[in-house]
Amino acid sequence: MIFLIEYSRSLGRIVTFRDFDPSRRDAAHRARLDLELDLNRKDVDHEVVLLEAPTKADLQRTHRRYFEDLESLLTSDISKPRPSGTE
Amino acid sequence: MWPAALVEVSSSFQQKERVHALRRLFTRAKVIDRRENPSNGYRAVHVVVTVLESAVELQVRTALQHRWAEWSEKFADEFGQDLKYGGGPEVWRNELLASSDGIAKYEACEMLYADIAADLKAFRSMGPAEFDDLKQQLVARDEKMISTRDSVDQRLQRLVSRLELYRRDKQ
Repeated sequence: MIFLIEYSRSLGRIVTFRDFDPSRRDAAHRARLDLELDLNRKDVDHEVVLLEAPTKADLQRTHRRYFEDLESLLTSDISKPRPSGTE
Repeated sequence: MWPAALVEVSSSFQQKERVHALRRLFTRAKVIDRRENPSNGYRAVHVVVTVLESAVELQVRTALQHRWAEWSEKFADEFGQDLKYGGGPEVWRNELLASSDGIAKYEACEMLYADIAADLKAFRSMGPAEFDDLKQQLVARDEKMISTRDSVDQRLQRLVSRLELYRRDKQ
């Protein structure tokens, strides 16, 4: 799937999220361009990105910063203690 | 700017193998190794290949390198994009650099561990004394890996605590 994300850095969250079947790649690129032009016209500073991943769940794993706040990003990356006797 | 693809691997040893494989596959690939000389803490190997006459950047990262890249982006979202380029608030910049350094140390241990493990596998016919020696090296390296990984976790924990304080002060 192709995902079009409009992300507000200052708010730290996604503003709009659209997905496209890979067969509609051209439409996804057009939608990105339209969105960028519209934001530019409105003088809105949002990040616009087109990403491709097999599923939304994969995207949420590889591009966590769009979906999670800073604390949860850091906290979840602290490795869990190893259960004893499993080595 | 060319399109980029993330190639995430679980360890630094796998990263080395994956980059070798890509080099074999794309003989004219341009390899930018940011592990030895990180770009403001960012560590990864970028392999720029040409597919159908278009350049594509393959960002080969270990899981930890990728996580660091996400932390860096998220910090930059909140504290300014300059953080990614050597500017921004010093306190967060230093924390990110120290985390990156900690990950580099862990991955160096990981690489040595993989080398010793490969030796052990390759020399099955060696004498018991040499075999035991290699096994002991492996155990020592494993302990070192655990302690360096603990350091990364402690730094992360500290970072979370600092953020909590920062948020409290801001309120």
